[in-house]
Amino acid sequence: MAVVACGLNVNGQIIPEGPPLLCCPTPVGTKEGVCEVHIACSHILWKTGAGWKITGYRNHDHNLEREMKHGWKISASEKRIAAINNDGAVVLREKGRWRELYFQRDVEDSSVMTAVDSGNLGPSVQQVIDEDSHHLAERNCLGHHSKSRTKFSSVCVEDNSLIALDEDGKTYSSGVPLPYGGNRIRAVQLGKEHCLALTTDGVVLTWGSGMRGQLGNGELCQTDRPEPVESLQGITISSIACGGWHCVALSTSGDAYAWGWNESGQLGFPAKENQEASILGTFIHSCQCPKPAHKTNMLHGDSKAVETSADVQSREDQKAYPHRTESCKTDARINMGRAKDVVNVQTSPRLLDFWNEDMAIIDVKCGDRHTLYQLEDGSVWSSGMNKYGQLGLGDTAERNEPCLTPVTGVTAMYAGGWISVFIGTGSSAR
Amino acid sequence: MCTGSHGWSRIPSPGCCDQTTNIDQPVTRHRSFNAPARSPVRPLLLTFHLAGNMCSLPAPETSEAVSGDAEGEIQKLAELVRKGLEVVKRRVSEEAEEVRKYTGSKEAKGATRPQDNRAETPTLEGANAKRKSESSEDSDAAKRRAREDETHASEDEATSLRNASSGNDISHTGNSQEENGRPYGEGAGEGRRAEASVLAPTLRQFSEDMLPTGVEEEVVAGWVGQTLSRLLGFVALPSPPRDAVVSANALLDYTWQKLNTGHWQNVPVTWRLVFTWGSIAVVHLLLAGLQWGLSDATKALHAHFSSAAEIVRACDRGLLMGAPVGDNPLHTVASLLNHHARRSAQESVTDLPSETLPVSQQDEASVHCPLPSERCPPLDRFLLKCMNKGVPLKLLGIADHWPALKLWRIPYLREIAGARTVPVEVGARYTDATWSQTLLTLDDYLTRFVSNPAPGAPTGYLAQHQLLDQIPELRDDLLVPDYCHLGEEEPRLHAWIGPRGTVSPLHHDPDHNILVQVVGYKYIRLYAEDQSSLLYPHPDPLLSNTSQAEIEGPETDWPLLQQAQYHDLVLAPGEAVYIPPRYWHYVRSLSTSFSVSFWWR
Repeated sequence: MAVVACGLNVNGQIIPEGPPLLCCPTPVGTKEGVCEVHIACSHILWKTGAGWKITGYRNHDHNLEREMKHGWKISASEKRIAAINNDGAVVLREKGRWRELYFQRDVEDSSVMTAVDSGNLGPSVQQVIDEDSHHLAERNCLGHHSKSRTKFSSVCVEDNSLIALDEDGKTYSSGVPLPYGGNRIRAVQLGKEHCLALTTDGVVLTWGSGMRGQLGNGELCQTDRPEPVESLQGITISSIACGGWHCVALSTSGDAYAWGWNESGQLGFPAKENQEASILGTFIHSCQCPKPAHKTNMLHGDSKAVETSADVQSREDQKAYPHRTESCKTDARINMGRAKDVVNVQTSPRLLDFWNEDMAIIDVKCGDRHTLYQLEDGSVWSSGMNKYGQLGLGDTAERNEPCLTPVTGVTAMYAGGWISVFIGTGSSAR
Repeated sequence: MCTGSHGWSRIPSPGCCDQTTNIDQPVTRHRSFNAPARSPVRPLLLTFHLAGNMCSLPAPETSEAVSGDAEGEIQKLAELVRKGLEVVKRRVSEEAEEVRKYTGSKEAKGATRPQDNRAETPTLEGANAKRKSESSEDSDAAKRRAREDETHASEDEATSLRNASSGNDISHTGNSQEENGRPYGEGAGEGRRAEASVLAPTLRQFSEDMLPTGVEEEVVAGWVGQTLSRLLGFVALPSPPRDAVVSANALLDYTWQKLNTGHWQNVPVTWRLVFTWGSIAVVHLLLAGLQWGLSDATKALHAHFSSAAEIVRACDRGLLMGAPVGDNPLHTVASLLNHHARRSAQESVTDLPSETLPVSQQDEASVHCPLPSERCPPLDRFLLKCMNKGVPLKLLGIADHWPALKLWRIPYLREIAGARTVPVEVGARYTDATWSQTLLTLDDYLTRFVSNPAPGAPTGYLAQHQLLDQIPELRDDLLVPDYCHLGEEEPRLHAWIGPRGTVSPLHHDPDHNILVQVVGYKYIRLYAEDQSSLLYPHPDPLLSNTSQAEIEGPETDWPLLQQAQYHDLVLAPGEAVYIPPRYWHYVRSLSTSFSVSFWWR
C-alpha cells in the first residue's frame, strides 16, 4: 500500500516543508493505511486506520482530527466540512463549529426539502435560521422534522452549497434547489455553481448554472430543477465526477463522456486556438520534487521492473505528444485520428476518444480544473490545468489531451482543488 | 475602473448568461454559443487566463557581451524597478497604517509616526528591531481582540500565537536574506541602500491579522485571508521567501475561480479587492525578482525586458479584474516599466511611417439631415434645451484646449502605453455571431488592427474601454466638459480607438453621452426614441436596446427604417456630439479614429 500525490503544496498539503508545488507524484510521508481522501484547496483530510488526519492549512482546527469519528462519511470544501455522523445525521462544520443540519419541507412546494442552514448563500433559501432559533424550524415543520426519521447515507459540500442523500435515495439540499422527483438518487456531486446526480438506474441529472455548459443540455442557462441529460439517454452511467465547472460521466461499458468548461483543457480537448490566448504566464517552474530512485514505482510495492524516471519521462513524452515527436513509436492506445478542433465550452456530453478501445476506463475524478482517468490496468491519465503540477507529469504545462502519468498499479485516486492523490496496492497489473 | 455598472450601457445586463464563453472562441459549434454577445466589456475581464503556460518569452540563448549601452539600460531599468518597489512598499505600508487606525486596535507603543522614525538611526538593525516590535505588538493586539470576542476566544488566541511565531520567522528571514544579499550592480546597489535607510524605518508591516480596507473578513476568512496578509507582510521585507511566488499565484488563481463562480455581478466585491491586493503582492514579488535578476551579469538584456513585460501584464490583470483601490500602485508600476516592457516584443516595435502622417477622412459619408450645431453653448442653455428635453446637439469648440488633440498620435500612445494590455473587440459588429473579444498589448493592437491590418482580416476595435482609468496619464491630456457635471454622478470616461470601418450598430444607452472626437472622422446617425417602432429592435430582451437593421445597408431589406426620421453628422477632430439617454445612435468610423465618450446620469 502506497500513497503518492502531486499539486499545490504551498501549505504542506502533500509533504510538510516540501517545495511549494509538486509536479511529480510524490510519496506522502507516513500515510500508511489511508482508506479515503478528501481534498480542499489548502488542505487534505485523510482517513486512516488510526482516524482522521489533516495536512496543509489549519484554520483554528486543532481539535478537528479528534472531533471527527472514524465511521463518519465526510465531504470537504475549502471553508466547510460536512459529514454523516454515526447516527445518520448531517453535521456541518463552519467557522470552527459543528452543528447538525435539519431539513424541512418547502412552504410553497411540499416536494422540495430545504436545509435549515445558517451558512447558506444561495438564492433558494426560504429562511435563514441560526442554531439558537431551531425551534422556529421545528414549528414550521409541524412534525416533518427530519431529525428523528431520516437516516442519511452521504453528503456533498461546497463553500456555497450542500446536498445530503438519505437511505431511500432522496436528496436534501441547501444553496441549490432540489426537488425530489421520484428518482432514487445513488450519488451526488457538486461543482462551483452546478450539481450532478446519478439515479439508481444510471440516469444523470443536472441542475444549477449552465453558463459554461455544465448542465450538458446544449444550453448556456440556468435550471432550478434536476433534469436528465438527454443526450446520455440509453447509456447506463455507472459513476459521475464533477470539477469546478465541468462534468464527466462513466458508462457501464467503460466509456467516459465529458462536458462543461474546457478553459484549461480539463475536458481533454484542445482549449485554445493558439497558446498566446492565455497571455498571462506567471512563474517559471523547475522541478524540485524529491527524487527517490524508485519514485515512480512506489505503487508497485515490490522491486520488479524498476524504471528510472528518465525512462518514464521518455515513455510519457511519446505518449503525451505522439503527434509532436517525429521519431516516436505509434502507440496503439492513442487514438491518432481524434478530433483536434478547439472547444472552449462543451454544452453536451462528448465521448472521450483519447482511448481507442480494449481497455475500459474504470474511474474518473475531477479537481477544480483538471481530470484524472483510471484505466483497468491501473494506469492513470490526466488532462487540464497543471500550473501546480496537479497532473503529475513532471512539469507544469497545461495538457489539453489526456496524458499518461507515471503512476501505475493504482487502486484508488482522488482529486480536488489543484491536487491529485493516488493510492496503490502491492499488486501491479503492469 | 471597470466596476459596478460601468460599461453596461452599450448593451443591457446579460441576465443569466455570462459571455465568458464567447471569448477566445470564435469557433463555435453549439447553437447557444452563437448567441450574440450580451455584454462586451465586463465578461471579458474574466478571460485573463491565470493558468497560462509558463513564461512564454524565452531569453535569447546567446548572452551578448554587455556593452556600455546595455549597462546603461540596465542601470535605467534598475532605477525604475527601485522606484516601483518604493511605490508598492509605500502604498502597502500606508494601507497597514490605515487598517490599524480603522480597527483602532492599537494606537500603542510600536505605532510611531513616520517623522519619529526618521529621527531614529536609519540602520538596518533599527528597521529589523522595529519590525520585531511591531510583530509583538500585533500579537498583543490580537490577544486583546480575542478577549473581546468571547465566542471565538480560543481560536483567536491560536491565531495570535501563530502570529507571534510567524512574526519572528519573518524578522529572521529578513535578517538572513539581507546577510546573503549580493550587491546589485553599482547603481542598483546604491539605490538599494538608500531604500533600506530611508524607507524601511517608516514601513508599516502588514501583520497576519490584518486585511486591506474593504476586504470582508467574513468572506475571505481562512486560507485566503491568511495568505493575503502574509504576502502583503512580505512587502516590508528586504527579500521575500522563495515560495511566495507560488502562494501569490495560488491566491490569484483561487480568487479568479471565485470571480468565475456565479454571475459576475453577484460576486462579492471583496473578491475583486483581494484580486487587486493579490496583484499588488505579485507585482512586488516580480519587481523584487527583477531587481535581483538585474544584478546577474550573465543574463541577456532581453530577459530583463521580458520580466518587465510580465510585470506590466500582472499590473494590468489586477487593474482590469480587480476593484478600484485608491492610489493604486499598479498604475504607477505599469507606467514606469512600459518603455522597457515594450522592448520585449519579438519584433521590435518601430513606428510605422503611416503612423506619423496626419489622419484624413478616407471613407465617404453623405449627410442628409445635418444635426444642428452650436459653439460652446452656455451651461444653462444646454441644460434646458438639450439635457432636459432630450435633444441631441453637435457641440463645437468644447475640446479646443485638449492637449490630446495635438498629442494623441499612434507613436505617442505607444510611448505612453504600448505594453499595456487592452481588451479588443474582433469582428464587424458586436451583434455578429463571429464577434469575439481578445486581450492584446496596445502595441500589438495598433500594429495588427490600426496601422497595418492584414487584408481581409476582421476589424479590431478597442471599444468602450475605460482606458483612461487604466492609464491615468492619458486622462491628463483632456478636460472633462462642464456639461458632463450637470448630472448627479461623476461622468464615466471610455476610450474608443479603432481603424476606419468600425461600426457600432444602431443602439441606445441609458445615460447622457457626450462623444468627443480626438483623432479622425466618424459618421453618426441619430434616431429619436419615438422612432423605435421603425427600427427593428432586437427581439432578445438582452439586446432590446440594439436594432437588427443594417443602417447603411440595402433599403429593401429594412423597409420600415426608410420611413424613420433621423439626423446625421460627421464628427471631425475637436468636435463633439451630445446624445440624450435612450436616443438611438449608429456610428461608423471614416478613418483611423480615437474618441472619448463621457457618460453621466
